[in-house]
Amino acid sequence: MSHHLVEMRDVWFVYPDGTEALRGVSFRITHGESVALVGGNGAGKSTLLLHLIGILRPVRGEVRVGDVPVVDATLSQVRRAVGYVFQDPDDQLFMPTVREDVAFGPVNMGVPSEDVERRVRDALEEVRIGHLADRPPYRLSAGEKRAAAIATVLSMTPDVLVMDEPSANLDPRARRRLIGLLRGFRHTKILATHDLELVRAACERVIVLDRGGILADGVTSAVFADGAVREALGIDG
Amino acid sequence: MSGRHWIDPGELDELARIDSPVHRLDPRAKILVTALYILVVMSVSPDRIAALMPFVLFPSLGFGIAGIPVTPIVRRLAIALPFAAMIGALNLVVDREIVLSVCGIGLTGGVISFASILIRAVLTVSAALLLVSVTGTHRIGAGLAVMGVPGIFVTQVLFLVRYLFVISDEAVSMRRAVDLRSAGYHPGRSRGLPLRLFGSLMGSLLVRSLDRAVRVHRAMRARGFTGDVRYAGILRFRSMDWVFLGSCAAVLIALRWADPTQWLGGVIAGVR
Repeated sequence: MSHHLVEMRDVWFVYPDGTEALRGVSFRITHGESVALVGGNGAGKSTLLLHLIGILRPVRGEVRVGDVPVVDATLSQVRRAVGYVFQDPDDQLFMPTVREDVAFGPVNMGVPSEDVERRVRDALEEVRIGHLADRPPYRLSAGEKRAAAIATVLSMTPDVLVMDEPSANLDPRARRRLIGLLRGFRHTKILATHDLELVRAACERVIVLDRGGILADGVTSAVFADGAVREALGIDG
Repeated sequence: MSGRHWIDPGELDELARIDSPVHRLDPRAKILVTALYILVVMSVSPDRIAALMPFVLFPSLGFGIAGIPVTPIVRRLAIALPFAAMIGALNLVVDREIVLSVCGIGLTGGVISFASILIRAVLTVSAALLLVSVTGTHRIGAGLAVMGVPGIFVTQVLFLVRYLFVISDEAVSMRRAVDLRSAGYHPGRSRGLPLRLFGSLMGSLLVRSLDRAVRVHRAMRARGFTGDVRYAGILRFRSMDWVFLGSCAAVLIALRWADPTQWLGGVIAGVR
């Protein structure tokens, strides 16, 4: 059994206002893969990601993480396996210091306090912001906030990293650092992004979403060479 | 990041990061002493203003030893005082009997109890501000939780603070957006918004805050939040905390019932 597996089988989702956000999405992501989820605004990227941690549930179809279906009974197991980095770090960082924020997940998981300390240290080192541990998160720069937000999920030692727009609002240097970090992680990675350069640098596989359905799924270079994909993503104008 | 505002909601928590002997005390000791202080000050009879004076010492010493600057505290006091003044104002009207005459000016019972309410408001609000600025909301929450206050109340307090940031940030950015596009729009009314605009701003502030709150809540659930905030660092009640708690309690109780102002007055009268 692999914890690193992420699978959707014919997933449909309709928002209460009637918007069909996902229409029969199926894919299977295996151990160690780095997958980009691309598509225009409103293509369904964020909706899809929220299904992976059970915050949204399909009206039809099934989501599986690490061989277990995402249902009420498995939620804590699933959320332990999937580390979710939200689009706006300000939503993710809510404790008074970076250290406490990074400790929040492990503490909720019931990790003993001496292990929590070690995990916090390791997670902060991994994203190279150990020196910011005692700063309040709302006083950090955008790049530092992003790194802190990533640390808050790394401390939960997830098998799968899910990130919504990880390079949004980053300056070129912070973005390069992020790409370096992403390439260093050995987790299974799923990144929803508009940043095609980031995709080329950090993901070997791309899933293209268009109006709630999968338009293309394959090796990055091949997918980006496809005419229909280029049209849908608005590459070449 | 937004710039500093007149009242920066994060300011007190930032001050709580200073290192001082007062900051290092266990939050539980500080909570108990502050609660006792407020009780004692509130229990002083309204007509005995002089008896309140020794209690000025407690917050002043606290702020002094902890190295807390005066400005942020005074600003917050300025916000709290009008409320106390409103409560006390009725006394001025109701109680008009002259009870004291200073330099030929008659003071009514109402004036004295009004002054007493204001002084007690200053003292108790400063004590509460002192507690927050030397402890930090989060450690206060931890202290309350460890002292057995039900988790739901503690979580409420902590979230109130957290969402205060959220809402104030949203409000500031909306206000900026309005300011930037309203130049010359309301001649002669450069400050203050027309009521109609204010209403729609408040409405959209509510909606934006709710949206934001949903996203924060999602992020918390994604990290295993189930309703209880747990505390990674275990608080330790050391001998220093016992000493602080014991001596403060003794001094407060002595000040309340021994009334050193009369005693001091007696000593001075005796010397003469």
